[in-house]
Formats: sequence, structure tokens, C-alpha cells
Amino acid sequence: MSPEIIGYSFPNDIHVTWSLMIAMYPYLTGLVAGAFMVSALYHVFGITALKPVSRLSLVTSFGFLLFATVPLLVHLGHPERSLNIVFTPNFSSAMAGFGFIYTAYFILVLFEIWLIYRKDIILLARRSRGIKRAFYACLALGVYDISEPALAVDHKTVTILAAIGIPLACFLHGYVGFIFGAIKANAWWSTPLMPIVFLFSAIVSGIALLILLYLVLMKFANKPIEPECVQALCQWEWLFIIVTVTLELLEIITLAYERSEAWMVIAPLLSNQLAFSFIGIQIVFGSLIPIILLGIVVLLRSLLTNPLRNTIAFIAALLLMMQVFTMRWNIVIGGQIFSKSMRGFRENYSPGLFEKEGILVALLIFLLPFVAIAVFQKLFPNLEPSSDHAQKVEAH
Amino acid sequence: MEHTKHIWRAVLIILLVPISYVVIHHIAVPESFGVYGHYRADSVKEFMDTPVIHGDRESCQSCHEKQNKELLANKAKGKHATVPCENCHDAVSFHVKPDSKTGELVKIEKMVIVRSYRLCAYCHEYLEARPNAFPQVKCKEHVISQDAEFSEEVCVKCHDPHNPSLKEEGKKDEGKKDAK
Repeated sequence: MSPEIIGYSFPNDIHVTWSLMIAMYPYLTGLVAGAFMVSALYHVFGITALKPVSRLSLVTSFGFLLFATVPLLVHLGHPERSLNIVFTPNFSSAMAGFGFIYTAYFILVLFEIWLIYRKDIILLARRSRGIKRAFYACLALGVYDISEPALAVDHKTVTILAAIGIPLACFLHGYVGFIFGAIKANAWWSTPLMPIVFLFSAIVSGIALLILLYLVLMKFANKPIEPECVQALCQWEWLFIIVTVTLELLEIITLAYERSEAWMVIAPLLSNQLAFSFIGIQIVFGSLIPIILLGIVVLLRSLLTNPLRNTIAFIAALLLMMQVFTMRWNIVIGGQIFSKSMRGFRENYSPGLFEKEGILVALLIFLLPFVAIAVFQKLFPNLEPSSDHAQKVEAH
Repeated sequence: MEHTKHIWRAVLIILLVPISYVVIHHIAVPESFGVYGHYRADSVKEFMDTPVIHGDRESCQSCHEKQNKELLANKAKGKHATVPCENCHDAVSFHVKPDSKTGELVKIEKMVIVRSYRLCAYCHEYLEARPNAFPQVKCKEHVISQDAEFSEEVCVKCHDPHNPSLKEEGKKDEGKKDAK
């Protein structure tokens, strides 16, 4: 080593530079992809029990998509430079794909929502006066055609868009996992399983969020909660959490069984630094308990009353939202608190409450998509597909 | 193709996205971008034009070889022989500048001398990531184990920064006394 760089380049892994905000990013994009998958289950795979959440899932996906990049922008010292990655992408980095994948997915979801809400928009335009009318007329793109054949075209397009949306949503989130999984210098991240684990846990968090939103919104709107819908959500959630936890454990078991040099640092990482967040929350509190709870809903279906099913689903969904967040945390922060030299650990990272990348900012960012959903609901009041149009466009 | 007017209008709007991408790309991406690699080629010249603020060992020695002969000889014998002066002091251009007529270096500012333990800790605070052979301590524990009291300038009481092996025994005791 040349003498000039002693003291500057060495050691170079003292700080945890990827903060809470970087854990927030895969969490939010996961919710985007997960919520979209629920809508695809209905639109593409014909799971009709999910009809009550078919609109909500798309709007939720869009709401989270609007703010998914905010944590990254908060993290950046120069957020305005984020546009460089969009306009001058360097394809030797996986990050370069971001602009294209995000934009394509954004357009697709927006287009799909527009088609589903088109009749509502036209009816609102007809009912309104003044600026409001102009607003809705603009959104209708000046075409007021809600004839049967036009709605059939809408339906066909929605199905095609939902089908294209599945691989796109998988890409959007799988690529976030890939960014971690393709870092060969970090033993805790570097695994081809990473994008798949991210994807499945994204679906878990998306379904969990929809269970919570559906139950809360129906409760507040004093509308009946469809037991079939909650049951279907719980069944899919059970399947996906089982697959997710299996994959997460397979990854650890493989590392433990191989006993490679990486395990020498990962074993103490899991049993000391991450003991609470990994073993305590991610595995036991966030996975085992919801698997049992959802197992009760799925296997003892006939014995459950509707309120009991809703309560169990609500608790399980809350725990699963937490599980997925801790999974993101354990990956992002866990991968940074051991030295890349495998010699040991850095000081543990805990975000401050009021700092720029702290807990309060993270909570605010997490609340923003809900505000967007509320605004959307105010502008287009039918989150539930109860109108004729919805039945025609969505009921196939 | 009947009843698809709205779809085509939407598709047209969507097409505006790639079109505006191309337009913005054309306007915003600098012309010299990508000439040599994935960066703005003009930035190379801009970097070349920025004033040089750091010097090398010879920049310091040109004056201090005479002024601090003993200090430099002492440094050359010790473990910090290869550590450049500017690593612990300030950049040479903040201390001297060439005279506009003669070109000789003229002092403009007193050189910074940091005696805080924090500067030492930057390289010598114990870290798992550092190789074992590299001298490193847990600063506070180390001072207490030496029967001394911790203070901001505690390191330099026993270690000469220019030649950090322990000062002579007598001086070391003095250091302990001072530190207490």
C-alpha cells in the first residue's frame, strides 16, 4: 500500500451508511408489487372472491408507487442528481434499470386504474359542473363512450395489462432484491435466492396491507365485510408466508450447513446483533404466530364466526406487516454491521427519532401513500366495485 | 376498431413519455458525455483547472529540512516515517504560497497543529476490521490502564506524534503525572 493512502482508505467500513431509509425503500416497493399481485389474482387468475378488493389493491399499489422513491431521495445528499440515473443510465450497474422499470410499471398501473374507473369518471363528469366537470372531462380524455362494446374493450385491455403487470411487478421488486443479491462482497446479501425471497415477502406484505385496509375501510364506512373475501385473502396469505419463511430459512440453513467462512460471521450476527429482530420478530413473532393464526382461519373455516375470522386476520396481517419490515431491516442493516473483512462487527445501528433519516421521517413517508389513497377515494368515491360498470369490466 | 377511441387517446398520451424522454435527454445531457467513458469529458479539464491544494513531502522539506532538522530526523526513524505531514497537519497551500515575483514559498498562515486524541483515534482506535499487526487501542481503556486520566490531548503526553514509540521512561512518567 502506498504511504499516501494510509489513514484515508483503511479501514473503509466503519459506518452504517445505508440507513433506515434504505430499509424503507424495499418495504414500500414490496407493498406496491404485493398489492398489485392481489389485483392480478382477480383480473388474470379469476379469483372472484377477491373482487371486493380488486380496485382497492390497484389504488393501494399506485398510492405506494407514488412515494416509493421518497426514502431514497431523503437518503441522498443531492436528490436532484437522482435524475442522472434516469437520463444517463450506466448499464454495468443494476441500478440503471430503475428508471425504465419504475416508469413502465407506473404507466401500466395508471392506465389500468384509468380503465377500471373510466365509467365512474364519465358519470362524475356528467354529474358535475364548472371546474369539477372540466377536471373529470379531461380525465375522460373527452371520450364519453360507455356503451357495452366500449366496456368490453376496457375489460379486455385491463386483463392484458394485468397480465403484463405480473412480470413487471416481479421485475420492479425482484430487481430490488437483485441489487442486494448481486453484491458478491457481502456474504449476507450475495445469494441468487435474494430476489425470490424479496418477491415472496413483498406479496405477503401486499396481501397483509390489503387485509388491514379492507377491514378498516369497511368498518369506518359501515359497510358489510365480505367473509369470502377475507377468507380468500387469508388463504393466499397463508400460502405465501409459508413459502416465504421456507425460502428465508433455506437460505440460513444452507449457509449453516456449508459452514463456509461467511458462516463464521453470520452465525454470531444472527445470534447476537440480530437476535431480537431476526429470531424474535422475523421468525417467531412475525412468522410462526401468523402461520398458526392463518392456519386456524384456513383449516378450521367452518368453526369460525365472521367477527372472529376478521379479528384473527387483522392480528395476523399486522404481525406480517411487521415481519416483512424486519426482514428488510435485517437484510439492509444486518449486511452492514459486520466488517467485510469478516473479522467482526461494527457498533450496532439505531436510527434517531428526529434525525433526517430517522424514525419520524420514516413514519411520515409511510403515511403518505395512505393520504394519496384517501385523496383518490375523495375524487373517485367507488373503491368498492359495486357499480354496473365495475361488474361489467371486472367480473370476468 | 369501433369504441376504441379512448384507448388510442390514452396510448397517444403514453407515447408522450418516451418522446419527452428523448427531448429532455437531448437538451439536458451534456454534449461531451460519453466521449471517453460514462462521464462528462469536459469535467476532466475542469478538474485539471482546479487549484492544487496539497503538496508532497518535498514541499514541506524544502523549508523545514533546515528549520526542523531534528524533528524530521526523528520522524524518519519512527513508525510514522511514511505518513505524509499533511495527513495530520493542514494542506500545504493554506500554510504557504509562492511569491508572485520570486516564486519562493512565503508563509501566509500558521500551520495547524491538532493535539486531540481524536486525530490519533482515526487510525489507531481499535476496530475488528483492522489487521492485528496494526497498532490499535481502545483509547479510553488504554489511558485508564496506564494509570492516567483521560483528556483531550492525552495521547501526545506519552507519544511523540512524529515518532510515536513511547517517550523515554522519565518523560513517560511525566506524561502520566501531567495526565493526572
